[in-house]
Amino acid sequence: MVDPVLTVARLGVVLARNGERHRVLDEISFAVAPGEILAVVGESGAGKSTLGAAIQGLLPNDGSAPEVSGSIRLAGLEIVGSPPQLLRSARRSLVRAVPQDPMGALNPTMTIRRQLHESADGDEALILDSLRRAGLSDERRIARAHPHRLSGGERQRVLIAMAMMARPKLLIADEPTTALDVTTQAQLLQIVRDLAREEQTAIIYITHDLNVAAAVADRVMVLFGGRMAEIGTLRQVARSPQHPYSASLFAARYDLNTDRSRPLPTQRAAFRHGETSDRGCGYVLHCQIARTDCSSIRPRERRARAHSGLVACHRSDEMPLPTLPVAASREAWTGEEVTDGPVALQLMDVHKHFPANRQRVWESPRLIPALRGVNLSISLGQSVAVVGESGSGKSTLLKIAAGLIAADSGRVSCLDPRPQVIFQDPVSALTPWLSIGDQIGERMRPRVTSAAERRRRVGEALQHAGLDPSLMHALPSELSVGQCQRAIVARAVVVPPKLLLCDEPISAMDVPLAAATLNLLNDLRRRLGLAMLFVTHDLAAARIVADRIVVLNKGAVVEEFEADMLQSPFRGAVTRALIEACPSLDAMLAR
Amino acid sequence: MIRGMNGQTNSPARLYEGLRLIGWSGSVGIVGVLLITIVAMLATRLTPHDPYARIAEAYLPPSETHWFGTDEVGRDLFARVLVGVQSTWLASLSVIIFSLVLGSLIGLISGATGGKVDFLVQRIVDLFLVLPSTMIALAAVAVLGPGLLNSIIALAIFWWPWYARVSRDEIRRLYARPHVEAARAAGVPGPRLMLRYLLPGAVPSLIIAATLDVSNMIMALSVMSFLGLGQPAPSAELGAMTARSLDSLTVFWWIPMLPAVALFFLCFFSNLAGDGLRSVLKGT
Amino acid sequence: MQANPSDVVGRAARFRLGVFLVGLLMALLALAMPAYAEEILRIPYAIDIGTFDPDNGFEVDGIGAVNNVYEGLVEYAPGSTQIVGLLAKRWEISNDGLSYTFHLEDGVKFHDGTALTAQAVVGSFKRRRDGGLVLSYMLGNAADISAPDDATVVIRLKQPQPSFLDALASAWGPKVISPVALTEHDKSDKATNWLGEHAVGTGPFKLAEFKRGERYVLERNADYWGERPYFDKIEIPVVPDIGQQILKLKAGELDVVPTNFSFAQLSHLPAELEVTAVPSMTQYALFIKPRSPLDNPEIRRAILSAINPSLWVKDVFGPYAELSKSAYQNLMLDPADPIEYPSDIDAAKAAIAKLGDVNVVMGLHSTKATYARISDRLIVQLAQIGVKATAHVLPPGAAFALKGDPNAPDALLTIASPDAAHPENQARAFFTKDAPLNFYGSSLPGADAIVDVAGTKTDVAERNALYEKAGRLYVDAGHVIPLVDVKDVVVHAKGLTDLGLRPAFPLGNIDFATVRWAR
Repeated sequence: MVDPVLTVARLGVVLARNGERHRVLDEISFAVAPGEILAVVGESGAGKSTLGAAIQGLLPNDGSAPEVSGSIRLAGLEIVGSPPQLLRSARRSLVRAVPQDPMGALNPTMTIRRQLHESADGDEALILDSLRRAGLSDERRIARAHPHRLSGGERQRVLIAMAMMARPKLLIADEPTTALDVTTQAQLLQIVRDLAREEQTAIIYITHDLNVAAAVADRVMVLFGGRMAEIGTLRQVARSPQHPYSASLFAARYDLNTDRSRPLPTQRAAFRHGETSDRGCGYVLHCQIARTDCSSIRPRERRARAHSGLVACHRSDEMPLPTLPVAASREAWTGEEVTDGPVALQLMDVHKHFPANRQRVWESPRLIPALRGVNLSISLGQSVAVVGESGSGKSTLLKIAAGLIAADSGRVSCLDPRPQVIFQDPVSALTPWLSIGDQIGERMRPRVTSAAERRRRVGEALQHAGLDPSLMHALPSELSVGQCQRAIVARAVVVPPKLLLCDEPISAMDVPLAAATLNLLNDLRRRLGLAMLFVTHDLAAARIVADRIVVLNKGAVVEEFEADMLQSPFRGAVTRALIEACPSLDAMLAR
Repeated sequence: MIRGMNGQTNSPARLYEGLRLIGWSGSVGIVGVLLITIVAMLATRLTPHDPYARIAEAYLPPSETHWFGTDEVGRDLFARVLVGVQSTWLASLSVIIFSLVLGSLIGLISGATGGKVDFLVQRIVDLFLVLPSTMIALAAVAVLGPGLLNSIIALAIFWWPWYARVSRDEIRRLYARPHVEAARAAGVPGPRLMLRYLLPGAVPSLIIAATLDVSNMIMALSVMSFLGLGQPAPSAELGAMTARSLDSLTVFWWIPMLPAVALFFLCFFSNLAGDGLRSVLKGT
Repeated sequence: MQANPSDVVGRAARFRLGVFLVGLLMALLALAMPAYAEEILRIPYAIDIGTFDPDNGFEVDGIGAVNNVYEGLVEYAPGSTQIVGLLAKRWEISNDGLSYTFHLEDGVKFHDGTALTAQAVVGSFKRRRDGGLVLSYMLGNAADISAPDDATVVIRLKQPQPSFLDALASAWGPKVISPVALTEHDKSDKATNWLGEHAVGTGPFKLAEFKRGERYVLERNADYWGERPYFDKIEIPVVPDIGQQILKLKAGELDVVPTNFSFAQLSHLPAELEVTAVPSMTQYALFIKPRSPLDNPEIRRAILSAINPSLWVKDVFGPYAELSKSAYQNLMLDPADPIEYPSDIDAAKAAIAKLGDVNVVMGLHSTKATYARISDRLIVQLAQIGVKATAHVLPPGAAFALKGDPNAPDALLTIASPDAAHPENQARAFFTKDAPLNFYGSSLPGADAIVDVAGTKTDVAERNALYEKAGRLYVDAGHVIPLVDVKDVVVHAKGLTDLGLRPAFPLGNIDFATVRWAR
């Protein structure tokens, strides 16, 4: 076997955040060979990004220095404990990164050409060539432009070009496509694959999206709570996961072919309250098959029984679990599909423009159209998904429906004067200093004056949303991301609105959480008979949650169809492109 | 140690973490500020001497009976410095607190209301901010007549706009956050939105601004008393004590120096404490 | 950039050589200096000169320089209040006291070479009287100014004015300006602009350099008609801060600190400095607001016992002040029956204890340290008998707006010095009902009538007795509390002598024509 580019051994990282010290990574060991793509998956907070930062020697210094133990050997160079000059030179030539937010990595005051100049040693042809190879066909315009003139996908590609130019041994891609739409994402994934194959660059691809991982990676490493749960070839781990957590990850995945007539196969959030300890298994509070020794003895990594990788679980011999996925609760959704109820939301010929940044002070701002004559109608009990690439105007549509911004022209009528919104980031949608119960109870305030009654109904709503009613006294910081999202759903439905608006509520979630959220929304909207508008770039999610799908392109509706008819051969070009760009793990496994 | 999802680390560990974040200089500052506050509260009870009576010969150098010596008329300088610390410290705290409360509320209303009200209030704040506030306050005191209360009023009038600006900017930042949008969508009425959803988020920044501002206020008050616009004699003000005996610096050094040293420590400790608090609240 | 080590050594060596050469040169220069040395007196002004025009400004520090460049008809003899001739060698006063005839010195020349004539005197005096200038009031009583011949000037008054010669001898009295300069530079502004920064007089010094806010230089007038001054040159830097003046004096960069030296430090002077102190017209007094707590005679008596200057004058001023004997400066009028304040502190304490809370607010006329020293001491004295007193410095100009102000302080601490050393000026400036500096507008018609009578008397003893009587009435009525007469204290390098300090001049006004090194 070829010598690995990167060898990480027993890596531990302790970071201080808001005055408290957290062990973010705990005894992680793995290696990456030249030309290999390793996907690192896990929920947010699992330590994925910290791993990327540690390999680059770029751990955040939040008031106190991070404590790093173990070893990171990159092309023969030890990163842990190296002096800053050495780390800088390593970052110049050995390891490059493509971050989630490309704007933060580009200098806004310099043209792309100037920024690439340094890496290219002034070789103009090399600059243009690498831009072209990063999939930017009009490389001359790109090179002339400042970063803010480029789209998100173009910026990401510029960063990849910049990284490629240095011919690094290792590329760390940290969720580079999360903010991009599926079409651009598919192109970028192709570029990454080519890079590994042609340049023999080792790539660590950090993502929460299993389908993306499947589209790009050779091997996968599953992280949970800063520890490695399982590592192995993607194909093998996906087929026969040996760790209960990876099992839940892969079981909960959904794509364009998933059965949409019943809830997604996910574990109920089996989260139990209790203390985790260094000595036990980190997953013990979520695990269905945990026994007493799981909370007292830390499982060591060992060779997996069913595949050639490693797994850290005492009970992996019992996998696959006959009771998993949660088949018992997977009864089909009940209730008739409503098509002729009263109209909950109607948009007629809605236009909206935004002023673009002025080029010069004296010019009047140019107006950029965001919505161009959109018509949309949702009846009570109906769920409509609005799908489109970024910039298609779908978020603007939602904000107009929510009454958060006003349309320039056209008619907007809404049955509910105060439709409820579920935002993309559940944590930032909760006020940090108010208890969950207070924030949910807020919606009843003018009508329900009795505090006891309010409390009772908050408890009910929490239960509806699948949360323990005792959590009403908790602060948002004491909840997990998933719990926050459920709390927000509880807030939205505590007084059932006529219209529920969801703004990409699952785009930053790992698969089980996203599946659970989709199930929750599907359940509630049926039970409460709400109209729902679900804005997403994820066609698979749209198909599962919506009765009807509206495809938006450049501010206009290009197609509208029943969700079951998504795969119909009569779909238009825009929709077909979206379908084709959807990465699918099952498709990969089938190949 | 991995922090449990609902687990809280026990409080001694928190205290230790807090102190570590404040840093040694911040801790020194906070201890210093506490000491100063205690001294300011006790003031004359810390010395047997009457700060206003002639109790010995004039111009006695520091000695065992008179730790700071005596001043031009034979009053105990230590007793006078204590009273000076008291009046300077309490006066600056009261101006800061008044400005903080007034400025925060104005900034809150301006930021949360937005539109024309915000524009108007911010232009007024701009107007105040471009004026040299200490100078204007001096002029105001010259008109109102000298005295502690007048100084406090004059300074407070010209001091709040800074807090209004800090508060308003924080509120605008918060206002665009999803949790406030969510609260608005939940139909939280305006005043409740301001007080429960917006103001608490601006408090850390305001506290930091205020603690770092205490030393500015001490200096402004001292400049006033230095220029004879503070309290009338015989009250002991540190700035005035230094100013009035500056010409004896070469001969009776303790009379102007010791009040100035006290003033220095007031500013020094409050700055250290402010820096410490900032690193805790902002996590720099 | 990194320097080559041998380079550094070379540079350092060159530097040392350079320092040595410069030092050598300076040493040689220092040796050569005495041969060319001019005698230069370096004296700082704390307050900048507003205008050098002798008719148009109430200069305080700068008036000393004006009096060394310009001359009037008469002057106070250096160190006294006696009036002697200057440009007039003698004079006669008519029996009705209305006509003054002055006979001019011979051979006097202006700095521009013009000879002094009686017409020049008339021209200057008429400019003073009719020019509508700041000091025009001083000749307001002159009905007619004429020159019967080249060497005689006659001034006829509208009504008798016994203090007329004092007005002429005053520091701000009328001076004679070159008629050529006056016509040449009259841009229909009576030459006030040009004279603000230039001067053509007859005095022992010429104005050689005028740099506003920076420094002024006087050079000796080689053709001076009188006695030749000792110094060739007077350098007058503007040093507003007294602390800086003292430091520069101690460092030898100045020869004199003319005024405002801290009294407490006078006993701690280094050996190379010494003090010249002469009696002056600086009387510190408290003017009392009508309807203040001091209206009550019992309270006033108690307060007077507490603030009795004899209890503290030595503590505050050392040997450099004496008790005021009357409402007039001791030099102006030596009273037959000096005022004396009660001194029974215990009785005062008992009186105040009986009367309950007494609060007194003092206003200080100036920020100068001496005011604070006195008021601090008064506050402590009053605290002793249970009176709560406070003091604050009045904003500039506020002292002149106390009349009728209900919020005015109960007492104003100020220096009561008139523009001329005559009791008439003192009474008419501070005490009579229409006196411009009657700060609180108090009125005592009986005393005013006595002042009116005194003004008509020509016999000095009889006149002074009347003024004393009137002054006593003002004090007894509680309009004013005279405290101390403070000496004119000049601190200078050892050996400077014959400073020629005039009691009627502002403090520290050294006569540059008489001052010299005693060697």
